[in-house]
Amino acid sequence: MQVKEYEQFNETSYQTKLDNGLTVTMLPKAGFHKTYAVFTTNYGSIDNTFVPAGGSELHRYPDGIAHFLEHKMFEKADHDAFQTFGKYGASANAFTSFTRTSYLFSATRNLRENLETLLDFVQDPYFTAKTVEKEKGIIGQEIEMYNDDPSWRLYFGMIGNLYPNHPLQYDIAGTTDSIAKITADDLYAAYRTFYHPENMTLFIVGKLNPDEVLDWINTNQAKKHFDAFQPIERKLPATAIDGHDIIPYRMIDMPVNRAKTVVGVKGLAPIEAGLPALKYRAGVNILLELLFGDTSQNYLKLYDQGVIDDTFGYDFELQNDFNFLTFSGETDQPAQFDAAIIAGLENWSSAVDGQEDLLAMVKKEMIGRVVFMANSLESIANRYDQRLFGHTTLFDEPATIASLTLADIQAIARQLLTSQAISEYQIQPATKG
Amino acid sequence: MQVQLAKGVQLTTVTSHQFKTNQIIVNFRAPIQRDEITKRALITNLLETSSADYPDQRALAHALAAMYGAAFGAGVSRKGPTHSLQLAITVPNERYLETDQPLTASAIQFLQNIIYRPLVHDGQFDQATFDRQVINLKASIDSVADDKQYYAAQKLNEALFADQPAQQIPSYGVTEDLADLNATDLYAYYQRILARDQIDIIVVGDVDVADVTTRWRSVGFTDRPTDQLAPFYQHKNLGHYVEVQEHQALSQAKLNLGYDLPVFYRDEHYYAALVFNELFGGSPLSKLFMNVREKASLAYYASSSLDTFRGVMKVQAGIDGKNHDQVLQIIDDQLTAIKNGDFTDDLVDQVKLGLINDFESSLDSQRTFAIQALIDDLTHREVSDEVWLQQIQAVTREQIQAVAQLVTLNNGFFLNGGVA
Repeated sequence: MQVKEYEQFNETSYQTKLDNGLTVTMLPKAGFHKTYAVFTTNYGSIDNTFVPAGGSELHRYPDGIAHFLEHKMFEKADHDAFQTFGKYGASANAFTSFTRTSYLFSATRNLRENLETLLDFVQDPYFTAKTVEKEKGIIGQEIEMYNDDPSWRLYFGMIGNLYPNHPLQYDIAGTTDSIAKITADDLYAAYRTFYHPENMTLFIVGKLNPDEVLDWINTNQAKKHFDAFQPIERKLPATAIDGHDIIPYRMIDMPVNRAKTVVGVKGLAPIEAGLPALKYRAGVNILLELLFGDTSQNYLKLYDQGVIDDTFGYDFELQNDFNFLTFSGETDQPAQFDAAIIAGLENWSSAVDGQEDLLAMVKKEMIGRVVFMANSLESIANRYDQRLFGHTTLFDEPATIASLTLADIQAIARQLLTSQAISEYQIQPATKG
Repeated sequence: MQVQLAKGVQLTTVTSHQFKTNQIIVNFRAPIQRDEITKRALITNLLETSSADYPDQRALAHALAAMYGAAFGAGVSRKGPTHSLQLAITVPNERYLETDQPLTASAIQFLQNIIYRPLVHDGQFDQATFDRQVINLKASIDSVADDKQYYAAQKLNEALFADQPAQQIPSYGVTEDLADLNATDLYAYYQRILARDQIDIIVVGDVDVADVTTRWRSVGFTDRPTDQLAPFYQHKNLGHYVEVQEHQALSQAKLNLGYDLPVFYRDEHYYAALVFNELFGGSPLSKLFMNVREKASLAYYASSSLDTFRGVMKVQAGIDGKNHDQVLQIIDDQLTAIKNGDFTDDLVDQVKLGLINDFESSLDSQRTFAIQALIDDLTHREVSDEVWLQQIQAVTREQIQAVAQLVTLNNGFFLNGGVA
């Protein structure tokens, strides 16, 4: 086991790769009652075109298949994994993102039984035509629920603008039409391709003894057979590096009281995985704080003018194959909101150049936030992403933040904030008829 | 540890090495009055964005960033017949940072500045800040209705408490009250809060209790006129079902149900009611989840929750509008099943374990200690963790059935989808 001490934070991480390829990371937290474990496969909603395990040709699968598979993993021939977790007092859940599917539980008791339940249910697929059909009703309602959520529609509207030829634009759950096509065979094909231990990670944080837990995991895994791992071939469409495929503006009507708008910026350059990605994310977050954070001049000016209010927010989404910024809010004047944000982005240098003092303060703030996240098992676990950030944890972030200079921030801004990468999407209140 | 700083002013300090941050909460509590709710919400917004020392958000944000990104927020909430206005700040513990800054002392000073040195000129809140926050509060109340789950829950609340306006409206106020407010009267009302509201100060973390106590004592709190508020509001049982329907252009319909359930926090039926709720609709093992969602595939969510400070239970489900009658029937059947004892002992054991897991997990959140201290101060029904666990374990099938017998469906709000 690789042991990494974070002396400043009085934390230690333990990491190892099992014989079957599974990467296990543990972070014990003294004084905590609960243990939180996340079992993740590097397989998400964008991976809808791939060569199925044992096959030789690319196949296009229905949108929403990764999420559908996530739902169906819980159901077995004679029981439901939720019931088993229930028997051991754990709270279990799962989620699918663009690039990952994660299964998790949290429990204050019966750690070994719950851990074995997690490993066993994810490593034992059971799909039949009947159970697949039944799930379509439930997921159909989930899709309908998100359809009525203006924030969700706004976010996916923007992604559709930035990635018009990319599966990123499709709702993670798919559509009622796409999931109607999913079969048990499709689920098995996806499962066999992406759920090999080599493509998975297990992260456990909280009340735990690393040696003991690793022992349990080894014993459990030794009982199971896995075929040799075949490298996964997935296909994602190329997106234009000059941004010419970006849709600059779209608008829809919804039954809302106030208009909502989002300005997006597509990251046109690929980001190197590992520590560089961790540093890039920190750098972009500092840049955003300097430009539109509540410590910035822009923020106060726009707030006092009533262009933005407390609903204003921004986000940076960074994954292996894509990255983009969003700035969103509710407003009575969406055009004015968008224009103000775009002006702030295009004139970034006036908010960044010479701001050494502000940079020092923002870095302090970001390092403090790491201390905040250290209190939360969920934050520590969800921050971990082996495929994107390598073997780093939350506690590697402060050193990364501290190392960033104003020149680094300027370099990021010059490269990221280009006019051709900017887009707008608005939701206008439907006229009541 | 608890110290009374004046009549109706409590300081509770919880020392713990578990967390890497220190948290300070100041809670102002008063009997809920229909006409004061919106005022209190607006004051929260004013305090959160300005003060004499930090006149605008940027100055305020700089002060927080300088304390290593201290998290500061203000909010309002309702508990039974009481309304709370709360300010909270959390700072990293200095020992995990390369700094000599006394962050906890700075955070206490910051909160005291916010509370006792608001941005005021000539006996009124700063006019420009007041005007801006009136606009923002109106906008944020209006857009709550865009969250249809929240909207449906609020409409149910209106129906469920039709006899009591202070219970009907949201704890964050209503827009029609905003027009009547002005910066002078609101400041006078704030002075009343400072002089008359019950105050709870809660400090959680690895802190020096003596130092914290000295810093709060120095404020010089004065006695409050009363030091005990009524903790419970008794919902009036209608005895029969009344449903309100509304139509909007939505993909998914919402069915929200309100029940009378006269069980109150830590009274004789309380622990059995917690187990009953978990069994009925409070968990993924529950009857509602299993039957409405898993068996009939009629919903993505279908769950129940208790309000043991008002004596009600609520059910919420997101469904296809055409299945309204079927869903209503299945929900009713689940209640009948529990009344009749149609559930296994295994399931009871499992939902108890789930409740215990939630309880023990909550001890890993710094906020839990403040929430519990506030409830204890309101109800004076404190129990140890051990007693809580014993009480849950001791709940019997008969007690669960007895709670189910106390449940009466009163109100429904059905937000139907389709073309408006």
